[in-house]
Amino acid sequence: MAKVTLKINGQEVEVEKGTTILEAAKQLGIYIPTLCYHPYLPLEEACRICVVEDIRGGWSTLVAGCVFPVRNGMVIETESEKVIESRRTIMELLLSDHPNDCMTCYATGECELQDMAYLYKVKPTAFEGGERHKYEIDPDPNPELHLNMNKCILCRRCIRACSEIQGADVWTKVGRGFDQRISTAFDLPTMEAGCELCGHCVDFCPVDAIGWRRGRDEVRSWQLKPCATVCLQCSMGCRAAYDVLDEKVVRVRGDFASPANMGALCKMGRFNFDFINSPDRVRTACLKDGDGLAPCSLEDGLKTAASALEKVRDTDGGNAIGVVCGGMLTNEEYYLAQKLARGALACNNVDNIDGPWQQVIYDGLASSTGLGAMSNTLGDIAKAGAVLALGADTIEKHAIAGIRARKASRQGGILIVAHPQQVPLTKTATKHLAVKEGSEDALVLGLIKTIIEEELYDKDYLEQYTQEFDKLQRNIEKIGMGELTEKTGLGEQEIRETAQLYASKKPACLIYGVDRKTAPLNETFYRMCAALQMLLGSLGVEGGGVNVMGCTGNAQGAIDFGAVAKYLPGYSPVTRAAARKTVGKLWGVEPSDQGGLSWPEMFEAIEKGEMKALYLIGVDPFELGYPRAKVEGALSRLSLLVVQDCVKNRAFDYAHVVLPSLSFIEKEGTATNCERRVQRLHKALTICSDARSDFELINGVLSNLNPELKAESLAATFAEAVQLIKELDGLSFEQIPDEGVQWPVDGAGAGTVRLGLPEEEKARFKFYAARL
Amino acid sequence: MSVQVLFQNRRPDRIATLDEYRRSGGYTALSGILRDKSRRDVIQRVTEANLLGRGGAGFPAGKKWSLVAEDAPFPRYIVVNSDEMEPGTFKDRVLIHTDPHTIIEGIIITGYAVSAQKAFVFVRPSYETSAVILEQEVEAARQAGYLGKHILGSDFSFEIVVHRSGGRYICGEGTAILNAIMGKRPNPMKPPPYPTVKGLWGQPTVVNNIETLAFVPHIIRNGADWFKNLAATENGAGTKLYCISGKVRQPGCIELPIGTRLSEIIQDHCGGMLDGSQFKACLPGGASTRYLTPEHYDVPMDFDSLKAIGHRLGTAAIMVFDHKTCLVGVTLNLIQFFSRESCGWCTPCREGLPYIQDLLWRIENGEGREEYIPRLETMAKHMWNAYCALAPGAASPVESLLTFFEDEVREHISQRKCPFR
Repeated sequence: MAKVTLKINGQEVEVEKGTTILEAAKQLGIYIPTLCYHPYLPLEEACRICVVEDIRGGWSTLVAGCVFPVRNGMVIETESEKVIESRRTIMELLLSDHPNDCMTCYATGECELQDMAYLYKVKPTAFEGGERHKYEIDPDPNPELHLNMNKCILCRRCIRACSEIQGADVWTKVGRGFDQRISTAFDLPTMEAGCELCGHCVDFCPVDAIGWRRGRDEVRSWQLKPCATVCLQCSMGCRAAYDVLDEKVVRVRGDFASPANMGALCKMGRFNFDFINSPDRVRTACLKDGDGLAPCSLEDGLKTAASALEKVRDTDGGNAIGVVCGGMLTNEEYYLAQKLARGALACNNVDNIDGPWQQVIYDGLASSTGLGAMSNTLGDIAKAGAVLALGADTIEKHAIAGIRARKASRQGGILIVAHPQQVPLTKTATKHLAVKEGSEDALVLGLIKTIIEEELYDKDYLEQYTQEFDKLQRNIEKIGMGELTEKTGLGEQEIRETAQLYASKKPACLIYGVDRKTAPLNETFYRMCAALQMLLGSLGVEGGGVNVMGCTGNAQGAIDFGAVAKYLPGYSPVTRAAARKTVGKLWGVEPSDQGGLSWPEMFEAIEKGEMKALYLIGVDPFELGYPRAKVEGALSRLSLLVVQDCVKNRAFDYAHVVLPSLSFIEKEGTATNCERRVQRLHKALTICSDARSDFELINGVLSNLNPELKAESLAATFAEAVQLIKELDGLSFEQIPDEGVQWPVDGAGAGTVRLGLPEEEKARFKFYAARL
Repeated sequence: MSVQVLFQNRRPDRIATLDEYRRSGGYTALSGILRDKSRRDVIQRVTEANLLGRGGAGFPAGKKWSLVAEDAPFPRYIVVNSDEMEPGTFKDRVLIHTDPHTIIEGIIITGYAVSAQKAFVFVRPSYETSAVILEQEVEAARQAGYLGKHILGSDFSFEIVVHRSGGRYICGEGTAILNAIMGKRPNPMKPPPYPTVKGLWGQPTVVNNIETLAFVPHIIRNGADWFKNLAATENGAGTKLYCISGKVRQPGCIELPIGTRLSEIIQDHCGGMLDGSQFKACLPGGASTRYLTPEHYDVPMDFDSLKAIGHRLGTAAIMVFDHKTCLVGVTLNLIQFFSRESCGWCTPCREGLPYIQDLLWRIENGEGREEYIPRLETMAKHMWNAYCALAPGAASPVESLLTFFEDEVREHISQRKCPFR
């Protein structure tokens, strides 16, 4: 890249050609004020506050620093008299049509307009007497957004955020000149105009024109304490900034520096935090007392849980006990939960609610690609030439993947969405396939069949990077298109056209969002997904890959750290003696040699009377998809039910011991998102109660059962787990950077962004026989 | 009468027909270049003729066309700007109503010169009759084989679409016009990329004023030297359609050698000032130029001469004001127009013009104060910080009002009323 040398405020700087004056100034640490500019949005060049003086051959012109590219020999002054005067005039003009009611404005203290007025000593009285707009305040019934367009300075960041980040295009400019305003198409209410409640417009509004409802008239910005942690409400692993007042989260913003979400959040991450302060919040430990629960000290709770578990273990055997974890635990907690089961309770009956699905994802992908998880990154989806979105409603359940897919389509890519219903993503899709629920496996086979029959595959790629293609080729012939059309509910022509469309633009990127209700419980589907990507030469490349995303927040971490019946931490099968021995050496106790039960199997075992005790960690068993009567029957059969949760759930009615835990926002630890990114969680707030993190609680039970197995600290537990997980080779808790690290990690702590092309012959991607 | 080029077929009562245009040599330029001239030849000849853009900016047409690179992608487009919303300007309308085929032939030749496939003639919606005329004559040209596939048996194919504007001043801006045609909100777009690189739908696009293109067939037919010799000044080239309005005896649109002196235009071609009127000032090129005062009554009306004295030729729409006209009132009227027509993209124009309007209204209505004058000066100067060229254009009458007629403004303030009322 060619370099350009210029002078800014007398300081010489050399920057790359194409750099803007603003960026060059930033390199020198020189501040240029901006309003419409935002580093995470496309340029607009509307407000003109960033003007700087460009002195050339005795001439001097004012240019907009945010967009103007540097030139060789440029002489720039950023704070000359001319510049200051111009900025002040702009500010005076903006304030001349602004309510200037900073006294009662929610944004006071964090308002960019206010800060600018302060910096340049601009009073709102310069152009008094002119016309001001009088728009209705809060005219829109949006549940989360509060609108007051009188405050709007028309920077139009909201329009760009809605369009560029979310791809929802709710906001637009209406009217011209002085009467220009921000509104929706045809002035529809925002929700009718397609608002997806992502909240990005609020995040980007420099004033309080589009503002939060939460905290309005209650808090002032300076009372809020900013905290940041990772949201565990889905598997995207978004880093979010929480504005906290005392024991309350007031609002949430996306973290722009986070590579997973790059500032974006979904409506859950942004607005679903009421559970922290809910009246159903569990604040003390409880023991069963007659028909109800009676509070007890935490110590008593832990002791009672431990001794009761011990009793069942000693009388009925370890296999009569099951441990089920929820989806929002940290890696250390999952590790400790399986250590509790395998080390102290003499069973391998440990699972997490996504376990059965996550396990087959690993089996399928590891056997065909060598990497048993999402092959690429969330950011890669936006770089795809063609995206095939399968599974759960992507915008709703895997929002970041959804908005990246939209981005790919807006950049000219093809977007194919297979979903029984019209979902938000179908709006931007090139093609929507109304497949029958849970028939993605047949669809993928249909695509594979077409691609092979019509020879749309990448022959050179197959030759160079894959093995056993003939196995699939021979076997796919036996599967009739009729079967596939029947299962999917699509016509043969439609499947063929989809295959042609999907194969027409590389790299092809497959995304599959797991939905527990419909996702297949066998590894073949994932092998076929990988096969489809291999055929198109799109596995092991940027913008391509097979990208399977789990359901719950830390589903990936749960299986990595062994909270699944089949695998010890690090994917060693519990049935393998050598693996048990390694663990035994580390713990001093060898895990049981009997295979464990997954949670659906545990329910069967309870019904058969074989399982007597259940330890639920952050799980509401009534949310697992079983009929209510079945769950009620199972729970009432148990001789011991320990429920550990932060909010009361329906299982409490059946519990013998209740242990109060913390939500993910209140915890420390690590979590791994669907793109294999291990990130640190940071405690954002503390509520006053007996509640402790699941880590402390499990550790409490564990140390009562066997003090030898007790964890010393989070870091020590992480270090212990890493010894068993080769994918995290030598990674240390303290060294995890803010942006996280994606496994597999090499010994030096460097991660792997995406699966690469195989270099060795035996590591080639592998085809498997198709099966329906 | 001097040499008439665009108006050679002008009739008092009707437009020139295709046959009449052909009898005056029409379409021979097109058939000639299709026979044995390359695209490069055409551009070279127009460049040599020094044909400057007649829309106001005066950018050399040949140079603009040559900015479309040889290997630029296809399709390529021509946009013919006949939005003509500059107050006081009506030359495009007269031209369309006079001899539409000189325009059509010019567009086709331009299309040939840049290897374009399609032209959009962007017509102001209040010019509905002009649009209808153009549509009829485009059809006539197509019937005659000058448009469509394989024009005159050559391998050159070309179409002309008449597009009616949404009817806003900003739509005539050289980049906003592209957004307008594409059905988007007509915001100006700041180059780079220039339209010649990425214009309509991201394709190379040449945007020219309709008057500019009407000259093209004549230049091809008669040569560059002939064209240059038409001018009244040494450096000028061609003739110019001047639109004269205001306090003269015979206002109207007339074709004169470019660089004809202002005094000559008013005295000899417009019958002089109205009885009892004295020349006080004029806007030389539409509402977005500076007032010309009696000091420059003899200035040659071309791009360079006006530029030399700090003025602009603009669209050469001369609005003449006499000693009985209140220039504060005139400026207020113009600013009301500009403020209404601002697109609202950037702060200076969106917020600043209504503010200027407010101050001028107060002065004109006897509510003015001394401190408004420096404030108006600041605001007018500040318009240079706007996103596109329309805001500084809008500020030109304000700025020149304060420069040349400050006394008149002060009189308004001190008398607490408009002295002309």
